[in-house]
Amino acid sequence: MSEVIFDFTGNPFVDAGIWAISEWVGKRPEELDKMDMMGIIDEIVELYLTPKWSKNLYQIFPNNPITNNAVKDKKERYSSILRELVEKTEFIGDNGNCIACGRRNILYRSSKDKIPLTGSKKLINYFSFGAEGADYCPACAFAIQFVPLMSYACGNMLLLHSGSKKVMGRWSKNIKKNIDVQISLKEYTGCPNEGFKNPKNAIFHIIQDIIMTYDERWVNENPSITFYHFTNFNQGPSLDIYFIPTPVFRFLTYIPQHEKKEDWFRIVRKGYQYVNWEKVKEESEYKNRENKVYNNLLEGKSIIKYFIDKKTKEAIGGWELISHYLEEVRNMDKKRIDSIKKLGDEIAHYIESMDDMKMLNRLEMASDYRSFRNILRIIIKKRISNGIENPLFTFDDYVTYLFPEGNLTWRETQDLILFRIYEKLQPWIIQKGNQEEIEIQEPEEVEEEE
Amino acid sequence: MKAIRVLIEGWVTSFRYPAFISGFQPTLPVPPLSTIYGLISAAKGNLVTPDDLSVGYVFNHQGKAVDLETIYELSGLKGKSNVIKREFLVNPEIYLYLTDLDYGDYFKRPHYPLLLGRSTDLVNIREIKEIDLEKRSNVQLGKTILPFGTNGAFGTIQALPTHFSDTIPRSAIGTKPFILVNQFFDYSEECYFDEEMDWGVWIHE
Repeated sequence: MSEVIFDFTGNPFVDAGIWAISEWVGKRPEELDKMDMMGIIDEIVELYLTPKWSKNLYQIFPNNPITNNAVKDKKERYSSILRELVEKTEFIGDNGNCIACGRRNILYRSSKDKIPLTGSKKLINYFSFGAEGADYCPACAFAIQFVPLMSYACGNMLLLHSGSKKVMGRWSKNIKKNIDVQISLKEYTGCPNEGFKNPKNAIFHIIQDIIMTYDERWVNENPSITFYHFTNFNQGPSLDIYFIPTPVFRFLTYIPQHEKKEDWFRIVRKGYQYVNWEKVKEESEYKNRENKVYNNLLEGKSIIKYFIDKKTKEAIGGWELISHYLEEVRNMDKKRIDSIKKLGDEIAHYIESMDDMKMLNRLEMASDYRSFRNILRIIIKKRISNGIENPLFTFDDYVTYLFPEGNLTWRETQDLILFRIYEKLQPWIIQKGNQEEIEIQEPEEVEEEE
Repeated sequence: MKAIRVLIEGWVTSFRYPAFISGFQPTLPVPPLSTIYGLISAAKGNLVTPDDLSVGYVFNHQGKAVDLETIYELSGLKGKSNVIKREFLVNPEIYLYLTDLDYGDYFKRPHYPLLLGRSTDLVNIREIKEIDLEKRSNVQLGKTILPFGTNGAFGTIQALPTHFSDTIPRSAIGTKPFILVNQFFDYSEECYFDEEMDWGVWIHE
């Protein structure tokens, strides 16, 4: 038997607790021993007894000694439960019936006062074969008591879970810093709370915070990241699970190195729904609005249109950033990206040399595949009549790269062509002074066709 | 290596996260190994565990939705109804790979009805075929469960048992972290490969 108590389990509550203890004690998870576990108890129980933390605990451990009003000697009762769990903790073995670690046996079964979202022991048909409670060994049950230290208040509680030591280590550091400030100022505000009520926006804020704060080689990290947005309230426990696609994480880690990283924030800003930017004075006025860029990244939908500002005919972020997004997140074939870029360049050259701003407007306003194809056909004819012999594109380019799925992805191709034209012609457009607002479709309309 | 490939289809299914017992019931994106061994045990009519048989599988579905489900909360001899939200997968399809060729017969004439995640999730067998699995590198692998740490794999990480005991009450056995991979990724190392389907097959041994 090894003399290790904690190892990665895959259970989000246990793993979060292990990382919290680890950060608190200043040791790696696998180095933690019983002395460390005993040593943390008094400090944490004191913290949990402060009014704001105690209020947060209602959401995580209802009816435990801290949150149960009938319990008078809260500190002693909760501390003795924790001490008993430490005393009964064994080193990791080869197997066991604990449903979290699978490497130790249980001593007694637990319910929602110790483990979030396990329900009451009385509802026996919730548990495998009518057992009274969930099977957690003392060490895993102990670790879970520290979940509040890793929880982020966002309406319900938000818990990050990742197999990446870098991600979990950096996040636990961030959270500990917040708690250290509370302790040093003696102003206990509870679980970190930055005013987010919208969990999806909070998730991207947390990821961005981790990426921006720590100078790591994130590009080589391919973490699996899941967020659990939960409450364990007596009246109505609930849970939502958000999985962050690894390519999305990789793309986000690429942005800080990019010369146009500030443009990414413009793209994100365009994703906020129903915000009157002229009246906005501070972030709190929009940070909880639905953000389509974040939503689409989570749901595997395209955000290409947010790279384009049709009102000012502007390409936001530049071709390098959008093509990186296309390759990394949309998994688009490089040849397809290059073919669209080449077509955008050719059309931009045509528009500028023929001084044909109307054609740009027609490309923008095409609202179905048929009209868009027709405009391309007209450009081809006009190029030929102006003596340009090279074809705009070949048949193979058309069916293989430009519109591989025809009507299904034509809007994606249209947006990318417009992006490239705006990027190439921005100085010319400004010079022409053609900045008047063009008629564009409402975002909702556009989305339905995607 | 010779193997039996069994194509199993259903209408709906839901694979419960073992850690979330109350509140919203989300579904795992792919079935855990314990569900697969449960299914094989039902076909054979006896408990089958990883000690008896190595398996691999590729799981597809056509979407995910949330249903309102009536449950009965038993407390002693009394029960009261309640409503919970349960997530489910639509049109599940499993390509199950079995390394013991005798098991094909059990799926031809299953001993018990074959079910997936819930007792109502009846499935049927569409095809049973003997195939050759060859080892190959640089293949597309995924839509399955993989051991935590598999090179290049990403997805939800979850502690899951490999199987359950047949004792009363049942105990989860072989619990460890797995990666639930709900899409294909390029796997550069060597693994078994199903040429006909053009995908890698991870055999859990």
